[in-house]
Amino acid sequence: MITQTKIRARFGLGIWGLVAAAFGLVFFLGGGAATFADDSIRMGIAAAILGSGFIGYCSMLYLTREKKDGIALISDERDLEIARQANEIALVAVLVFVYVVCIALFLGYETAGNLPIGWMWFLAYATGCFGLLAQAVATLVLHSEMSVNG
Amino acid sequence: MAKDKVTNHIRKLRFEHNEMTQQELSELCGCTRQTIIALEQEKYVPSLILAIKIARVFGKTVDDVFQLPDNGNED
Repeated sequence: MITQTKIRARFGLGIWGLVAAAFGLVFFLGGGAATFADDSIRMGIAAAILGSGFIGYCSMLYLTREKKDGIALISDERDLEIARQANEIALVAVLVFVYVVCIALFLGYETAGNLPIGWMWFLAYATGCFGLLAQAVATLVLHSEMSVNG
Repeated sequence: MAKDKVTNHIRKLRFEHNEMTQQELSELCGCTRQTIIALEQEKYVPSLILAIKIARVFGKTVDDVFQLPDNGNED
């Protein structure tokens, strides 16, 4: 039996991977950051994608919750430890991601003196996706490290 | 600080107790089978509570089931 943490990580990876890919397409195709903030259609689609991702993710968390009449345990102290470590890794990954994006934008637009406001939307949306993806990947890696077939 | 390496005799004790399965042990201890697998492969160090529960299942002390080698903190 697969534990709750691992099931959630697998679904999380799938959901946020799809959301990240879809958002990337919407953001970068059709003008990129320069036109994103002025394009209400792309803004709406991006918001709908992120919203769908959150609804899907919350639904998945609800569907995989521990039921009171459950016969076998689906999570224990090892899963909590894995989740704790994965959250720590995800936090560091998010900090590095934000730093890298900010520095890249600075270097890219240093001579111009200003940057398209669309990048703020990218930073806001991409940070959320990246953090949740990093958490899912870290969970799966830690699971495989702590057990050969767990 | 290097991680302490804890060894254990869980697998041996399971077989000495009517070839108890990992699933049976996990149910008696209130943990998942994956945790028992990880413990037997010494890839996970249990909490004190889980260590006591496992020792109680086998009618042993925690020291009989788990060992911290003298050089356990030198990795």
